[in-house]
Amino acid sequence: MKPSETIRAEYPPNRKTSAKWRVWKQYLVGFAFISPWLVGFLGFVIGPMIASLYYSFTDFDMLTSPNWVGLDNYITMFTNDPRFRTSITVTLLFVFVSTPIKLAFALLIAMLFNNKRKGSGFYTTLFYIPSIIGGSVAVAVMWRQLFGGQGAINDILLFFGVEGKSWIASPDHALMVLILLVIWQFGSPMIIFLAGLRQIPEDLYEAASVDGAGKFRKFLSITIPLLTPVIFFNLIMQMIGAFLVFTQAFVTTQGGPLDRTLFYALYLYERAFTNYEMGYASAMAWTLLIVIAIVTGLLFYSSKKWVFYESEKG
Amino acid sequence: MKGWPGVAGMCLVSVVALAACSSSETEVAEGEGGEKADLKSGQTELRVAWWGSQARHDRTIEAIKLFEAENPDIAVTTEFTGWDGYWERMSTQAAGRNLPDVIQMDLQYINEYVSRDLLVDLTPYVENGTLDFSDVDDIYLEGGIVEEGLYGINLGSNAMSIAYDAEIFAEAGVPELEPGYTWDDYIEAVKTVNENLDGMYAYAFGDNLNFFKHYLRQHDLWLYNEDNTGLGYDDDKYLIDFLNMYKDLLDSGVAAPPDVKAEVQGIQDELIVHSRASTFSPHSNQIVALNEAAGRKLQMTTLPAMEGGSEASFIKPSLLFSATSQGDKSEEAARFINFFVNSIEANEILNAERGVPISEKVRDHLYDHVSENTQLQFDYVQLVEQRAAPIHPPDPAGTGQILDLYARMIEEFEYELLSAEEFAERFRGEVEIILSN
Repeated sequence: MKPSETIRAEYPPNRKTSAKWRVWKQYLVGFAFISPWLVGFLGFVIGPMIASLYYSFTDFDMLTSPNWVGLDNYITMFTNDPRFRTSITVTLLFVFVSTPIKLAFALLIAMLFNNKRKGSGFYTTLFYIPSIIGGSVAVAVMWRQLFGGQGAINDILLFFGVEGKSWIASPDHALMVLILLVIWQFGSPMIIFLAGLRQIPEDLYEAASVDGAGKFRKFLSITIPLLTPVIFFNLIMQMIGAFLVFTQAFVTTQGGPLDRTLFYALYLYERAFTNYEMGYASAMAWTLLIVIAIVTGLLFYSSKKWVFYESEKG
Repeated sequence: MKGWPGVAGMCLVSVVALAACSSSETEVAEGEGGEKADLKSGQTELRVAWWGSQARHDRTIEAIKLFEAENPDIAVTTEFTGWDGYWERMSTQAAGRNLPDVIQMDLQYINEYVSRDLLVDLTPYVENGTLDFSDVDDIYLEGGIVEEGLYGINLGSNAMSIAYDAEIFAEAGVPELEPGYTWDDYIEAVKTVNENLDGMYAYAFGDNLNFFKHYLRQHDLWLYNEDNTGLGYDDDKYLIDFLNMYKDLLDSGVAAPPDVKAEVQGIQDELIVHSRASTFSPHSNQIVALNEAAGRKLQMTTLPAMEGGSEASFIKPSLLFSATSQGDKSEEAARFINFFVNSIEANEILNAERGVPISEKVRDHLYDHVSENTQLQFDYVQLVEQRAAPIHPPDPAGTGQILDLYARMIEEFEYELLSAEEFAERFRGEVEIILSN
C-alpha cells in the first residue's frame, strides 16, 4: 500500500464541504486550541479594562451603583490633588534613576559571564535568582529588616565605624533603598543581554584586534552597536516595569516617610481600596496607561536614530 | 516592529502589564494566615475573618475547633491578618462580593460598613433565640447598634489605658502614676524618667488621634459635629495646644523620633516590650499580649486627667463580630457569634484576650480561672467603669481616611515641616472635604 492511499483511507475527502467551510474549520480548530487563553484574555483583561474605562467617568465606590460624573475625576486629578503630583514626581524619579542603572549593571554582569569561564553557568543562575523571587513580599520584608534601624546593613556599617540609622524611615534615603532593591533584581535583563552578546560574531572582534583596537574601543564600536536591539527591548520592558512598581513600596515603606516613596501604583491602590474611590482610581489607571504609551511611543520614535538591525541596510 | 504598528503593539503590551498590575493581589506582609475548611458532605462552609496578635490567632483557632466539634454541620474557614492590611483586604473582598461570612469589626468602621449595606441586622436572630443575650446587660450591646439595627456583637469591653513599667519608674526614682494624675504630671514624670535613665523613651500620645478625642472630651467637646459634616470644635487652639504638648516631648527626646517608631510593626516590637520606653498606651485587652511579649508584668492606669476638666474615660466595645450580607449564611453566622458570647469552654480558651466578656455568667466564671494579666484588665475595666462618662456615637464613614490624614500630617509635624498652627488649619479644611463626600 502506498503512503498516499493510507491517508486517503483515513481522511476521505468530503465533496459536499465547500472550500470556504474548510478554511473556517481550520480557524475554528485554532480558536478551540487557544480558547483557555482567549477566555482569560477577554474575561480578565479586556473586560475589566472596558469596565475600568467606564468607571473612570463615574464616582464608583465599589459597593453602591456608580453615577456618571464626566471628566470630574480627571479634572480633580490635575487641578486639585497635590498627592497625585507627588506620586508622579516620585515615580518619574524612580523610573529615570533605576532603569538606566539597572540596565548598566545587568550589561556589566552579562559581559563578565560571557567568556564561558568555568562555573559561569552556576553564577549566572545565582545572579538570576533575585529576579525570580524579587517581586515577592518575602523579599520586601527582608529588605525592610536589612535597612531598618536595627538591620544588618547598620551592623556592617558599624564594623567600619559608621553610625547607621533607619534607612527606610529616613525621608532622604527611603527612595534610594527601594531603587537599590529594584536594581538588585537585574537578572532578567542580564539573561537577555547574555543571549544578545553571544549573537555577536567573534570574527568582528578578531578583525578589530588586528586593526589594533583596545578593549574599550571594541566595546564602543562593536558590542554596543550590535547590542542596540537588545538594549532597546530591555529598556522598554524595564521602564514599564518601573512605572508599575508596587509590592516593594507597599510592604517596605507604605509610601512613607512623608510620601517620599508614594509610587503612582501605591497611591492608586490607596485611593481604590482604602478610600473606596474606584472611579478616581480607574481614572488614575488610564492616565498612567496614556503616560506609559506616550513614553514608549517616544522611545520607539527615537529608536530609528540609534537602534541598529542587521537585516537593514545601515 | 517599526512605526505605528509597533507603537500600537507596545501599547498593547503595556495595557496587559497594567491590567496585570491592577488585578491587585492583596498580599499582606505580616501575621497573615488561615485555613480552608475541609468540607464534608452536608456541611456548610462558614468563613470567619479577624485581625490580631499571634496569641489571638492561636486562641481563636482553638475555640473554632471546639465550635466545629459541637456543630458538625458547619465547617469554618479562617482568614486572619494583623491590623495592617485587614481593612484593605476586607474592602477588596467587598468589591469582589466575596466578604467572609463573619468579620471582626471595629467601632471605627461599623458606620462605613452599615452605610454600604454590607452587614446584616442581627435583631431577628435575637428574637428567634439563635442569639441568646439573657446573661448580657443591654449596656454591652449598645456599641454595636447603628440606626436601630444590631450590626455588631461586642466581643469584649475595653478602655484606653496607659501601661507603665513599674520597675523602670522605681529605678528612675519616679513615683507611679495614680488615677487622677494630670497631663502635666504625666509629662513631668516621663521627662524625669528620661533624664534619670539616659534617654528612656515614653509614650507620647501626640500621634494618636484617640488621645486628642480624649482631650476634647475633657473640654466637653467632640471631634465631629452632630451631623458628621465637619469638626465638632470651632477654635483651633485645642488642637494647637494638644500638638504643642507633643512637640515639647519630641524636643526633649522623650517621644521616640519617627525613624525609631517606624520599626514598630506590631505589639511585640513596642518599645516598652524591649525596655526602651517607660510607658505605652494599649487598649486594656492588649495588656495580655503586651505582657506576654514583654515577659514581665506591666501595670495599667487611666489616661491623664485635666485639671478642672470633665471626666473623659469611657468603656468601649473593643471588637465586634458582624455578619455580612453578601452570602446567605447569617443563620450560621448568628450561631457562631452566639457560641463566642455564651460558651464557657470557648471563653476559657479565648481567655478574655479580646476584652472583658459581655455575658455576666462567663465573666464571673472566668475571673478565677484567668491569668494575673487577664485579671489586670478585668480590674482595669472595672476601675474605668466607676469613672466613665457616656460613650460618643460611632465615628462617621470616612474616619479611616481622617486617621490616615492625621497620621500623614503628624509625620510632617515630627519632621518639623508643619507647625501646630498650620496643622490645625489644614486638618480642619481636609476633614471637611472628607466628611462632605
